[in-house]
Amino acid sequence: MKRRGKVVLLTFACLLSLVFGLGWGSTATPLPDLVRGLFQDGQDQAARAARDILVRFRLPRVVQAFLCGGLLAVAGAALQAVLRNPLAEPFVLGVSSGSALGLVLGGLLGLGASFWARSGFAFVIGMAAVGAVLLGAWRARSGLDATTVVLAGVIVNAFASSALMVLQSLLGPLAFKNSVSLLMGRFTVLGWQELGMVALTALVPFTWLLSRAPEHDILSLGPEQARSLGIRPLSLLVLTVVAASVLTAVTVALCGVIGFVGLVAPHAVRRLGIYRQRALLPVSFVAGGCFLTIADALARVLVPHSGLPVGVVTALLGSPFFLLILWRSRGTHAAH
Amino acid sequence: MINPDLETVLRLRPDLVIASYEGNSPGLAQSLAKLGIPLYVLRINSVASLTNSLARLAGVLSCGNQARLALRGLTRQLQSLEGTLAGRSLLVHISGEGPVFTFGKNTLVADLIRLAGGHNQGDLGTGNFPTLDREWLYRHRPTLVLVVEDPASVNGRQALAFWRQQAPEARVVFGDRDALSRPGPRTVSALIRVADRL
Repeated sequence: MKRRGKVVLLTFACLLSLVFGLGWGSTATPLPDLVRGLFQDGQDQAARAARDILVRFRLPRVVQAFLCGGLLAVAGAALQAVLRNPLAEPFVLGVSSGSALGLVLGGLLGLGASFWARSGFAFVIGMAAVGAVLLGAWRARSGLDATTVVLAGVIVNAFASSALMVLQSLLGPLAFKNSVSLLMGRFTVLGWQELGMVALTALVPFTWLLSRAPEHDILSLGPEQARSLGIRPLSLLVLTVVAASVLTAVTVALCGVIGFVGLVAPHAVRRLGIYRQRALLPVSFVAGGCFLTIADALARVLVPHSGLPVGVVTALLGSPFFLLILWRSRGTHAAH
Repeated sequence: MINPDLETVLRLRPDLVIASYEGNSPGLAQSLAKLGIPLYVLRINSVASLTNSLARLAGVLSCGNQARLALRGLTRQLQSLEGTLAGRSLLVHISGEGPVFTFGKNTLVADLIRLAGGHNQGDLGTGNFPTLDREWLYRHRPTLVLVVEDPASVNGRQALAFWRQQAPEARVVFGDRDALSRPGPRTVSALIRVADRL
């Protein structure tokens, strides 16, 4: 696909996600009414209500979904490069299970009332899980290698998931239902201040990953090649894992565990012919953001008022999409 | 108890196990059947199912006279509930962390509110426990909220603070959590107490 076609496709995806995200909500207030409310007289009660719904509820939710989807996709794309594993995604390193454990533990410790206390706690536990992965994978002679990091991630994931189930067994039926929907992804309406803080927290690792994009391209060829070109693969691997984990922990603390975005979005972007990390990361951000925004809108309307977790929708949409990508690329793999 | 430990059940040597439909796994019936323990499952999701279940349970337990008395008492309570919430629109908030859970239209509480002449704002969606997000609450602006919680508990205080912020004009009353969230004859008396306070 030519450059112009890619731009048109991404712009269309953004517009579509915006229309879905802003147009569908828990109340039957269509998008044209909401937009009209923005320009009508401030004294008119119906117009004011429409404007409030758009500005106070739907727009922050769309921004939140776009941000989380984008960050997960960027984390996935970076991890796939440095771990040289096409199946790597943000949740392979145990950070998601760690943060999810923090979310439920925070609720049991009475931190549920404060968004910052609970999310901060989840973030810390998620990062502690990544610390455990890096420590567990460390070898005195060789330091770290990609395979050991993934293995240690699987182990920490299993441990945190089991600890999570122990905690869930202590909950009552409704609290259990609540924790399941939280762990499979749920957006609550946040204020602009909270969203700004989250975006600022994610900005540093995101910018760092972008600045290291050329080195990621080289490392994806193998550590020996990277070393011969003056890159220190060990420090690049550790710092990338930490940066991707920060992005993941932020999203889990914000909206629970949402699978598939970090896996599907970068692969979909590669199908457009975008392979270099410098272009792959920002385009994956947009693709992941669009994907999660649409999935969240669908979660709201597929089974209204059921609290359907958005992670269920991303898996339902993502799995056939991913299979389609694999099916369509079978010729390419044969050629390779 | 939800999905009870079978070893504990066996040690107690019960003549009969009475289970609720909600929350228990269908495998419980098969496991108890293998152990030779009779099981009676109650599914109470309306006033009719409440009175029918009580009558059938009385037949199973062979206690006709006591059942007749209990049913007469229940019928009196149901009659006294009629019309007590006439013209009122009620949002029932099952308190806890996370989103606002409420009772859906196919629940005993919703049916009792209808019997009392009121409107249950949770009569939407398909599930028994619909969730209501802040957009919905803003749009529908509840004026009367029944929080199913002890007002002195942490959850009760948090729920009150939530409604003060979300719908400052709404009147918030509290109801017996145990009686309202476990459908049975006590649910009727708990709702009568709520109606008396209004």
